[in-house]
Amino acid sequence: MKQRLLPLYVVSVYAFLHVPLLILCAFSFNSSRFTVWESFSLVWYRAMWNDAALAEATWNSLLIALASTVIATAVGTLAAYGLWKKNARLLAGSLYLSLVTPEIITGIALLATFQWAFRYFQLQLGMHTVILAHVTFSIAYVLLVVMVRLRTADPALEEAALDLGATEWQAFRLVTLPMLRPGIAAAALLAFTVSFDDYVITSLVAGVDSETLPMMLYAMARRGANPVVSAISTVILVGLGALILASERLQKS
Amino acid sequence: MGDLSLDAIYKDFPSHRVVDGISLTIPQGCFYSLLGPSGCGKTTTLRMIGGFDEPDRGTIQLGGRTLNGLRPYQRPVTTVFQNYALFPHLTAAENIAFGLERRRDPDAARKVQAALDIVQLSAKAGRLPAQMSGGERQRTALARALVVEPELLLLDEPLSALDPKLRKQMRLELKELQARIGITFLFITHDQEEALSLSDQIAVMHKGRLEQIGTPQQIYLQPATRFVAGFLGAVNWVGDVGVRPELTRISREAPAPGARVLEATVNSSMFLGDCLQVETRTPAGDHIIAQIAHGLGEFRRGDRVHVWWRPDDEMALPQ
Repeated sequence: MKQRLLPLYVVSVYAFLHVPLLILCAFSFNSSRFTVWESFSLVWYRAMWNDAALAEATWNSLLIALASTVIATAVGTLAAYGLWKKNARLLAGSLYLSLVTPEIITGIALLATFQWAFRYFQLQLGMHTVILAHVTFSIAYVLLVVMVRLRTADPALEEAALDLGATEWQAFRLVTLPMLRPGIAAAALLAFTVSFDDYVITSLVAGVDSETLPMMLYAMARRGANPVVSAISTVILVGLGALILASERLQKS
Repeated sequence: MGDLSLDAIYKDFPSHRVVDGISLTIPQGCFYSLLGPSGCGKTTTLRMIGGFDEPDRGTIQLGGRTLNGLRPYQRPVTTVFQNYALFPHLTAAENIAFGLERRRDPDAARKVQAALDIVQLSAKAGRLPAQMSGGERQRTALARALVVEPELLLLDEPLSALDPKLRKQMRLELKELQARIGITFLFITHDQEEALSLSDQIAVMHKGRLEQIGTPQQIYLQPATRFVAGFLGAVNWVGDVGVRPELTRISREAPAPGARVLEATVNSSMFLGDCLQVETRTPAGDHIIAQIAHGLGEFRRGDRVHVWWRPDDEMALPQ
């Protein structure tokens, strides 16, 4: 009895998790605009491909994700290294706070900060504010992933490098950094994913020139079921899924 | 090149004093051991010489040059770390080349090859640490520290991670290597057998202080304190007098005059392979253990015996 129930249980959990996504996927290949199956077709993918506004939003999203990933990975890695060197457990633990803060609160806080800052600088909401906002929430992810890698590192390795004539900077660059490389790569992939995904914070701090793909999808979806949305979602799912898998691989190596 | 001298070195950790006023001089070319139980401050002393910790007070000099305040890379000193601390992403040859590359040594390739030859690792030059045996890692760490031609080599319990058989073999190799290259070795260990067999000089450390400095013979045969006597080997104590079990004799008949004799009763007799260990108890309640060669008689529980030793073998150490 037990032997038969367990597979059934597993199947239902996975079904619960993945069936909605599969339905979305399936209807993106449907020739009809309605949720009734007619025949296989790539018409919505063609429509997606030819949509100029969609292309611009995708471009914005990629640009924001790339820029914030580069900045957050660099800053987060150095911060993780500093916390590890100083053995600052409390500071490291406080990072979880930024992970559990509701996105809407982070978004409102960032918006308030930007508006306050704009009273002193002649600036407006736009790509730069979105990138900054993404950097702030990505750093925590980068820190945590890199810290995991550092926790298994032997502090004697840097001492050995210094002992053999390396300066502190050389010890970091030649010994610690190569050791952290898989962790840093995994952190970067994760940062890219969370940036590319984000809707709530982005929509609050975006300007007129910085509509992202999730924002556009949200707007389209609100106007009613649209197979183009399904097609875009399918492409994003496959792309981000591949990134997450790659990130997991790197963290294990 | 020159002698290493520590002058009144103190080091406090937040909870207690780890090094409590250590002064010693290590002659150039000497194989010198710092021997003591774990927590006695020997590793902290080594770290201060290497430049990984700074003393709170006192000066460290090498050949008359003060090392205090110099970063590890500014000191003509290298270290073989306890767990070797080999760079995991570099091969044996690359690990060994690391120090030479920092110095932009134009002769690096030849020196790496020579170092690999010395430690007999030429065949394993391309291996990563994870692909090497414990002994090979140990040799790589040794070659890596020696190839930059330091004036002083620090060794932090380098044999403790090896299995007992390999440890004895590496002990021989280490001694031979030091004799051949002639630089000063400062060897940290808690293993008295290791210290006795390797060293020209031993300093015994206990609770942050030096208990005694001397040759292995002096330390073993004429310990300055009860701690030293007990740390280096077993001792039979009779009041203020101690004697080592292997210098204690046992017989049924009274020995010739001149010996120190006690009457005793046998408690147990144990075969230890290389000797027979007989445990006895005197009427005064002292436990006296004698380790004797095979064929000097058999002893059973309850036997009345004489235990005795030569007055020269006594260690007089008031409590």
